[in-house]
Amino acid sequence: MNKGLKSHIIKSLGTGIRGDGRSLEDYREITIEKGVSSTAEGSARVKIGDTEVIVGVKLSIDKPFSDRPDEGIVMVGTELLAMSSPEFESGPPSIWSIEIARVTDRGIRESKSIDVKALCITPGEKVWLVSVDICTLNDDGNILDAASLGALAALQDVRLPKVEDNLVNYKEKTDEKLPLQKLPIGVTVLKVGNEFIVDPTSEEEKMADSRLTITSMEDGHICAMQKGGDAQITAEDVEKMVELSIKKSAELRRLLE
Amino acid sequence: MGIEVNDKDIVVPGELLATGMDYVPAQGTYRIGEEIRSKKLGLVTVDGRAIKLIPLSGRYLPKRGDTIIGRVEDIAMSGWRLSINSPYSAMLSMKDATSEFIARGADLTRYYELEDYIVAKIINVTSQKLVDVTMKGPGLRKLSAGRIIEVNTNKVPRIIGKQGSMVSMVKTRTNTNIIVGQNGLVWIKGNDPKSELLAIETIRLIEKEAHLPGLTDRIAKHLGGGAAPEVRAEENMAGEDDGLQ
Amino acid sequence: MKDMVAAVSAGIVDGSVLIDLDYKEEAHEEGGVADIPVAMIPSTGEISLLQMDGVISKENLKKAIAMVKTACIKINEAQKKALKDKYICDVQNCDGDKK
Repeated sequence: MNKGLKSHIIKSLGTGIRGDGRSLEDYREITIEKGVSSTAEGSARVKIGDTEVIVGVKLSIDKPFSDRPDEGIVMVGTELLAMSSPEFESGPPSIWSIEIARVTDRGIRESKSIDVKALCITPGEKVWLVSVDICTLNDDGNILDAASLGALAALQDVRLPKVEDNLVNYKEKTDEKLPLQKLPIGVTVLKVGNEFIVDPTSEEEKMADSRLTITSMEDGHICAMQKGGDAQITAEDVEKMVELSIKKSAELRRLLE
Repeated sequence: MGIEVNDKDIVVPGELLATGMDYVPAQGTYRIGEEIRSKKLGLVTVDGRAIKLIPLSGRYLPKRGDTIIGRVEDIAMSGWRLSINSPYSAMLSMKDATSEFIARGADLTRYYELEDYIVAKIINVTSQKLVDVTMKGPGLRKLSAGRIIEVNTNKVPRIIGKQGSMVSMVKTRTNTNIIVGQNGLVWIKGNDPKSELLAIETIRLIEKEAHLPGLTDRIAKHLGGGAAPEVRAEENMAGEDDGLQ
Repeated sequence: MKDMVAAVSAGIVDGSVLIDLDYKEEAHEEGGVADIPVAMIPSTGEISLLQMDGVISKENLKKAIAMVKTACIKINEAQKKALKDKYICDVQNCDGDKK
């Protein structure tokens, strides 16, 4: 990263104003649209500023894992489409796309936001498999948060398909929704110099020393964390970032209610 | 027979511009049989019997004599390779890098490092699109603190304005320093983030409305501080008469 | 670019030649099936891509290509409009369109 540009941004952050006029704790404009795909059982499109992701949820019936015979299965995948950034190329999943999938997955899984026991059809034989697919349409920074928000919105949008004679009829949807118990929201906080910001643009992401994504639930408990970036952070940094993240996730959660 | 479009119409590739042999296809247009058609997305200008296009989109194509802003993306044995917002990269060789003498085997990062932004001038473009630049010349230097944005390369003439009048007005009224590269990279530095933001927003506005008339007055109004200063010749889209390209 | 390219799929459903088949029509398996994607250069009518899966008579193929030509000209009008709309705006609209 270019030192001159970076020190300039850090100086501006010291005055409390970012490159696009926002304060350090402001998100850009967020829009959440549900039901954008007619073929997925649940879907959502999330825009944070110019960053845009689409999430689709597909349901299928599968054998449960042998060590969890009475639980449904949740899988999260991410595709960083080449059209969303000059940095992305088509091909097998990159480290970054796997990280985004894992962080989003962890938030959903560890919070037990989906009641997986309620997804069991016949123990040991048949359970619902919930596949969450995140696709980026445009990357202007903060894909992590957009992915987390999009995944939840898409899961909220799901209507279970009809099951007839042990076969899934995808052409007919029931009114049954997924058993969602919690809404875990991921908020990524970046450390740039000595300042902490949320919702970075891609210009800001390039200048960051480190980032910490914290996924938290309604009661303020944390269910997932992921640190990224080359630089180290102190224990005090972690405290500050957690504080900021939980505060912002409460605000974001209201958009889903 | 005759011309099928109006002057300053926006046309798309393949669009029919004229029929018959009365007109001559110029830059951005081509003749196929009796028809003249457009090669690009752009503004049609009819200049006597010549029909030509001012492109509205498309990446920067390097030209000798252009002053550009490049980013160091690689350091080779005898120079630096720059990314210049174009399908082609540029080479800055040791002999053109600085007025100082650089010894063979010297540590080139002492002069320009990876990710440095520099204002350079294109001295040669070969037929195979190999581009050479120099840092020797007035105003050519390494850029330090500031912000870099990317603008549509076709709007650069409008952002600079006749004899630099547009960019000067933005600089004075936002109290910022601005360098506009012909390749669409723009460097801005102000004393505080608010003035930089105003400068950037203004440049984006110029970009968006570049093809509409009365732009200078609208920008002057947007910036505040009175009417735009007088410029001698008529305003037009590409600044064709002022030698800027 | 000497021109833009427009493309559409023609197909046979129940013996009839159709343009721009939807999912149900494509999935329909009885009565003769063919899937013919065609790309065309609108200004000259030249074909730049042509593929065929299925079974089709010479006569129906001729019909299909003629229908494709009409469709591509229509699509090209929409392409032109979309590109131009991006750049044409009244002074008032532009001013009001601040993000």
